[in-house]
Amino acid sequence: MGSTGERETKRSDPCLVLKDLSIDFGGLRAVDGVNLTIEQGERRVLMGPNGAGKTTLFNLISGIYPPSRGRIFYFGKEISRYPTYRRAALGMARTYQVTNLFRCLTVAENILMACQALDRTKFVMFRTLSSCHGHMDRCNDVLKEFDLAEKRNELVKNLSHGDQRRIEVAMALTGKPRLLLLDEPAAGLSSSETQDLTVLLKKIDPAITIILIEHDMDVAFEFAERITILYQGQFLTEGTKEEIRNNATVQEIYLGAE
Amino acid sequence: MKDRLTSTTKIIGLILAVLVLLVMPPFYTSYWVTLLTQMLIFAVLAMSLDILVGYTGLSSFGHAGFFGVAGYAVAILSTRYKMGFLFCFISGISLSVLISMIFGFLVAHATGVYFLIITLALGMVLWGLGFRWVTMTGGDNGISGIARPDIGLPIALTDPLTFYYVVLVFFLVALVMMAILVRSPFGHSLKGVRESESRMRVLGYHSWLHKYLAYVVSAAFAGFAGVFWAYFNGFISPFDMDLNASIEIVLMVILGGPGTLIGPALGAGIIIFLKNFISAYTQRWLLILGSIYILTILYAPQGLINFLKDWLKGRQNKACGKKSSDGKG
Repeated sequence: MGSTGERETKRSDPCLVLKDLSIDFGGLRAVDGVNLTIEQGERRVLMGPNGAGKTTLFNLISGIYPPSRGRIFYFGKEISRYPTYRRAALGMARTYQVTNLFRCLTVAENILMACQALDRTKFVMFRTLSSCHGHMDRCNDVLKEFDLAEKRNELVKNLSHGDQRRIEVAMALTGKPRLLLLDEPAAGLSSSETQDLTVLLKKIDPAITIILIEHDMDVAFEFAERITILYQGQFLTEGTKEEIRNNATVQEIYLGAE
Repeated sequence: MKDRLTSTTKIIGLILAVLVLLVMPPFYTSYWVTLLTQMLIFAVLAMSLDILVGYTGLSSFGHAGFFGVAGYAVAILSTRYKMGFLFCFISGISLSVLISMIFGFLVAHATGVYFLIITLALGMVLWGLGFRWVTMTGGDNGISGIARPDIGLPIALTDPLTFYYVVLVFFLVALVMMAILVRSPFGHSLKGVRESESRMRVLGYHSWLHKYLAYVVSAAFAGFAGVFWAYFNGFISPFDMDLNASIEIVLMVILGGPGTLIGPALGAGIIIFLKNFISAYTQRWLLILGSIYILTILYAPQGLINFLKDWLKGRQNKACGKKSSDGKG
């Protein structure tokens, strides 16, 4: 009974609520009083010029930095002071703007790291990983799904940038997250690779809430219904594609004042 | 083709190891048997450090401390309190584990050079205890007269060859345990910490805990080696756990090849051999040690075992190339 009640409230709670979130680095206020509500299953794009605080906001949400002020609610639960690994255990996954993988391990080993990350077996010392069939099966599924099966035994550092970006996304999705933070997944990709990635992102389970940082307007508009613009650490505006496209301040920031 | 060649190399290596370690010892002189025993003990020690250095990416300069502590535990318990082998064995390892559990809180948040310096300082603390706590440790006189243990065998272990085989059995036990450990999910997580700690946290790993556990496990196996060192040598002194000793273990790992288990074992064998061989001719052992270190860093930065692997691979590629061109001709 109690558990169903809890699930009921969770269904109605938004996935993520940021209240007056700020962080100072010395004298610099990188994120300044941001309020944001992301509904469950929503696709949201964060945009803004360089230095707008987008990645810093991701670091606050995923717990890399503790906020200087403000609170973070995740499915109705306050997680403002949770360390990163506990947020991950609650189903929060992210990718990095600058590829951050286990470079000297193989593709399969990278995915396996994500397979066992949220499982108690990660502390098992007297049994080989290759005998943990659950993890091996999950790893094979992910490799197949992301078209990496042929490269499974190659070292990640020897792969192309495009493949590495795909592994970033694959690793984030391996743990079956509830909230996925994608930090410029298309950074440095060619236009055809970007196209492939967009297709891949659109195939992601609609139950997973996604926040995407993206500079490429085409990718952004194709991906999300609503777009949030940050500027100099502050929330600037939020709206649909058309609203953003026609917003005078947004045009001014991106194209310069006339 | 590739797989067949590497597996033949492995089989040749295995046959050689069986011959040298298992079949041949009865035909060696007792000097060589003793040297080989020493090599096995230090191989366990070097492999235990490699769990930290090679797998987790943390260079510890205080590892001899745990080796020495276990040795002292055996020395004190067996000479003063006449305790049996099993009790000494368990106590020695437990003491190393206990101390590493305390030290772990100080070191596990550090990485890189900071880790190195903190472990160096803590290693010196243990050395200082051995040196200054005269009533307990005998100061720089150390503790002598540790008798070979009675482990319930019909033959006495005073015979170097019998003792050698006992050490060999324990060496194999430690080797198998560590080989499984580094291939386990936990061992896999250590490689992740080595490659990218930030990514590990985001994936959901409490990376501090993994480093802490790696430190403790590594100390446990160092204690394992320390127990046998005390029994083997019959004597323990602060010099078994001073900075030189710690640096020697690091060198064994780096020379042999961090990130493999066979590498550090091989490195331990080479260093122990050179140390015994060279010290017959010169007092300047440290000078030679330093030169080996520099040569390794310059010419085989990945360690001998990986150097050997690359060399074999290169030779095999050449052979394949020749064969195919011959075929065409």
